[in-house]
Amino acid sequence: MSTDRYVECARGGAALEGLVVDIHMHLGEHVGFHIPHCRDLDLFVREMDAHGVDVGGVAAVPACLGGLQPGGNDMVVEAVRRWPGRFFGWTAVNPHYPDAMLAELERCYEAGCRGLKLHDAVGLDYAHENYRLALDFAAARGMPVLIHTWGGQLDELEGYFQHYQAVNWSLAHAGCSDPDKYVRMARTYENVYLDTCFSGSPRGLIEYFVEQDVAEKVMFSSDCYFMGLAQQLGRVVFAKISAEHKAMILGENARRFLGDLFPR
Amino acid sequence: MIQVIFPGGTVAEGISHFDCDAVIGRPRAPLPNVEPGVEDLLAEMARLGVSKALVRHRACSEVGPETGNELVLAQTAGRDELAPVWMLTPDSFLEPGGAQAGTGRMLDSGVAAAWMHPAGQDYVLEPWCCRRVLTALAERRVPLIVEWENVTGRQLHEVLAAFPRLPLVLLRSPRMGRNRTLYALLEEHENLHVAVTPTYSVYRGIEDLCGRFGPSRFLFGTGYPEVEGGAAVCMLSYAQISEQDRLAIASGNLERLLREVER
Repeated sequence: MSTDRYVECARGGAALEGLVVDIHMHLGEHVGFHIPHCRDLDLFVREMDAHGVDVGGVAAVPACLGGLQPGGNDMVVEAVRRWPGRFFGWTAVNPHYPDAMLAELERCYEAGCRGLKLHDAVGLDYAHENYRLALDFAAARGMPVLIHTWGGQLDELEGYFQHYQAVNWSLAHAGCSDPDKYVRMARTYENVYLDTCFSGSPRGLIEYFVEQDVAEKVMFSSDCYFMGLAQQLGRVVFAKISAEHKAMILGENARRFLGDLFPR
Repeated sequence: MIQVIFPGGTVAEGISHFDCDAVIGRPRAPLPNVEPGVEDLLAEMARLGVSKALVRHRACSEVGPETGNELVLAQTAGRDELAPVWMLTPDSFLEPGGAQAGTGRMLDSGVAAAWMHPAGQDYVLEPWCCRRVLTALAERRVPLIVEWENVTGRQLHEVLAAFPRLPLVLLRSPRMGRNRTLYALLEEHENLHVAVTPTYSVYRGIEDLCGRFGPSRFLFGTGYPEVEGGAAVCMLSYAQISEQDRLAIASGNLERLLREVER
C-alpha cells in the first residue's frame, strides 16, 4: 500500500492537503440530465471543502452549452462575488450573437470574472471570425482562455495559440483522443496548458503526460458537477507518479497559469 | 479492513473492496500502456485496496463464450480472491439435462456469477429470447451481469419483471445525473443492482442513490483494465454516506448476493 499523502487522504475520504485547484468546474442547469442540487452554491462549496479543493475555476452550463446570454453566467458572477478567494470565474459566451456576447463579457468582467470560456457546442466552429471578438477582448485584459476540445479541434486552434501568445490557454479534456497531439501543443507553445477532466478516466493517461515531460503544463480539473468531483480527483491522486508531480498537477501549475489573477 | 496511515502518523481503518467489474485477457486492439491479465489485476487490486474481484474474460466477448469461459476458469484457478464469471447466451446448456443441470455444473465448477453480452452476439436480452437460461439462473439466484450499453431500458424492465428472483447487476451506467431511465428502473424493480463504477460519475450521485433507494443495491466496481481504478475508490471514499452504507457498497452487498446463490 502506498504511503503517498494524497493517496492516504483519499483512501480515508479526508480533504486533500496542500494546494488543490480545480481549474474547470461548472455551475447551473443542464438540459440533457438533471443534476441534484445543481443550483445550490453553498453545497458546492462544502463539496469542495470535503475534497480539499481550495480554488475552483467555474463556468456556467446555461451559458457555455445553452448559449444563454445575457444572464447565463449569473451563477458564476454570484460565486465570484460571494467567495472571491475560492472561485475563478470563466465567462462563457455565445458567438452567434456578437453584440450580446461583448456586452456579457463586459458585464461579467466588471463583476470580477477574469477568464473566457469557449465551447463549440453552441454550433459554431472555432475558426469562425466571431470568436476573435471574444479573444481580442480577453487578450486586451490579460484573461486566460478555457476552451473545450475533443482532439479534432486542435488543428484549427493552433493558429490562435500563435496569434494570441500573451493569452494562456487551457485545453479541456486533454488526451481524450490523440494524446500525443495534446503533448505536442503543450511542448510547442509556452502559453498552452492541458486540463485533465475526461469521463472515460483511462488508466495511464496522467502517467503518459508525466512520461512525456509535460507535467508542468497539466492542471487538474473535474468538470464537476457535470461529472463527479471525487472520480476525477482519483485519476490524479492514484496515478502512478511522484507526490511532487501530483502537487504540480493538483495546484501549483494552475497557480502559475493564473498568475496575478489567482483568487485570494 | 485495511490500515491507513495518514500524514503525521494518524492511523485509521480503510475499507476493503470487492470489485464487481474486472475483465482479464488481452483485447483484440491493445490498450495503451496496459497488459490486462491476472498478474496485472492482482497488482492493481493491491495498489487500490481491493481484496476480491468478480472476473470476466475478454475472450468471451471477442472470441466466443466457450473459449472465454474455459480461460477464465483456468486463469483464476487457485486464486481465492478472484471469482470467475461465465458468459451465457440463449443457447447455453443445450446438452441433456437442460439449463437447470447446466447451471448446476457451472456453479459446481466454482463460477460465481453469469454475464450476458447480447449486443455483440446477435440476440436480444428479452424474456421470449432468453427464457430458458434466465429461468435457470433465477431459480438458483445466480447474479446476472449486464452492461448498460448492451440493453435498452425496456429490455431491462421486461427481464426484471419476468424474473423477480433474478439478481441483475447493471454495469457501466452512464455519466448522467439523476438518470431518468435508471431511477425509474430502480423504483420499479427490487432485483436491480447497479455498479457505481467510474462511468457512473455523478455529482453527489452515490449520496442521491442511497438517499432514495437505500444502500443495498449498489456495488463497487473499478472498470478494470481500461479505467483508472483510483477513480472508483475515491468516488466511494468521498461519498457523504454512513460508514455502514459505505461498507455495504464496497463489499457487503456483493458478498450477500453471492451468499444467496442456491448452490
